[in-house]
Amino acid sequence: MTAPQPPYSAEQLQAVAATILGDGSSTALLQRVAAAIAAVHAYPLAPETEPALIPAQLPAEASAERSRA
Amino acid sequence: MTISLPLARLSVTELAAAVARHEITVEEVARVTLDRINALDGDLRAWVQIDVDAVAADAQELDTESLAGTPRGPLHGVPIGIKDIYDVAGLPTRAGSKARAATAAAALDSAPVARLRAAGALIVGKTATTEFAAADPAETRNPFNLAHTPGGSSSGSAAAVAAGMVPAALGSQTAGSVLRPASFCGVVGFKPSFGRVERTGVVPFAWSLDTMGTLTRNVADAALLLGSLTPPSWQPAAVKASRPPRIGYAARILHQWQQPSMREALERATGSFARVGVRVEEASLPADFDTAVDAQQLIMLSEAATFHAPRFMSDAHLYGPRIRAMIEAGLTIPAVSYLQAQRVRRDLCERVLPLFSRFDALLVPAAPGPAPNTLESTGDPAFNAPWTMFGLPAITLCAGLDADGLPLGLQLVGAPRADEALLAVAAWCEQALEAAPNPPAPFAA
Repeated sequence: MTAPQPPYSAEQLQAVAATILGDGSSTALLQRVAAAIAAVHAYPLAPETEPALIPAQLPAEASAERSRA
Repeated sequence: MTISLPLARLSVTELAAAVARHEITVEEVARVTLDRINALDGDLRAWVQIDVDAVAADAQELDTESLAGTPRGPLHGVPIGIKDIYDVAGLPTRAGSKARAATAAAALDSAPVARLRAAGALIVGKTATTEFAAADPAETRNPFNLAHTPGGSSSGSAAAVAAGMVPAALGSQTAGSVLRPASFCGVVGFKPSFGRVERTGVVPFAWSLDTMGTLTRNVADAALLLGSLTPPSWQPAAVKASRPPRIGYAARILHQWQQPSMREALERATGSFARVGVRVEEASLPADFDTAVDAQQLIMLSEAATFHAPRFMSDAHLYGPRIRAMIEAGLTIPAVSYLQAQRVRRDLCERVLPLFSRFDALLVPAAPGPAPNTLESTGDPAFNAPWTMFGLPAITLCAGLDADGLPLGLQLVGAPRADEALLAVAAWCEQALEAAPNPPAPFAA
């Protein structure tokens, strides 16, 4: 079986939700998510574009300064 | 007490100065603050936890230090509210959720709260948040009209500052949770660059987006708080512009969602800016800019679902309907789509950044319009979400009131890590605008 390729329909997402959650999901939000997925996959990107992922954080130096037991 | 102005009208800067001059004791500040909260919060519902004894003890300690001539720092004696996703030692962090109703009191302050305390702040208590800083509203009302939302997720922080209960409060922003409530409540909401303020001890929602923010009544106070929240290794530069700023007005952004009253408010603001020397020119955002809203949504939902999944699978019944739907939707987003959204994030950001070679800041609405007439929703963060996703500093200033007396906020966005430069631009623009508006009685400060 070939896995579905993006973009995904709300019905496909609903099926995923049902698999994960056992009882299916509400949700009007899935329509919105399906539209968002379609939009990002339709966005024209150069092949070499890398994902942003989580930007660098500051050193956690302030952790040592947390106060007040 | 010898100060002439009502305490509720004083800014952070003015209040700290009054304490430093011994015109008022911190114990008096605490008493007046708690009295005002007691008098008004039955209707406003901005606060969820206050340990009165701890506030009194902290005030006494601060007064002792004042009398000894050893004030802690620039916020000595200034009462500050903390959104209930930040750990405050001695109080449970419930994050507005039944899922955390039985959580124990925090043993330590979160990093931002520890920094505020080290600067002398009087931590008053916890302000209301939407559930897990997402979309299920808190009980907080808007002081300009109790039937309207104050916005969210930093609902209590914005309402408390607007109503003169405290001169400043901490919020946080993953999409538009500082700038949007600031717009709806007529206060200054500032979101520094991503990563500028450490988040240790803060309940996350989406790791690559969550950013600390402040709610104050003027720009100088936002700058003072930023300095106090910043690690010693990243000392803030002076918040002062040497020349009138150049602003790019992106009037077409998400144009179909802009309400007429917001458009008119921004047009009026640009005219006012010109009178104080600000040069405002049109700025064109990249084609496909609207996709930023989609990408931010996918990233936020995926990360939120990842964080909540372990608890959600056993305790879904303890989650409110909106965050429950968000987690369920987030669980369905394929990894390829999450990564595609992160690629769009990088590409769009790289295409926006050249604008900052022409402009000191971009001007856009802070929200589609005034606070919606509902308590069932906290409004739409679409005008804030792209800038949060790019990690850029952003600030809301009140651009006036609409015909119904509700605030309308403008949003200024700065270059990467140019927090102080953005505050300088905002301070310059603030001169051209009316002071933060007072809500009607009984919330007028």
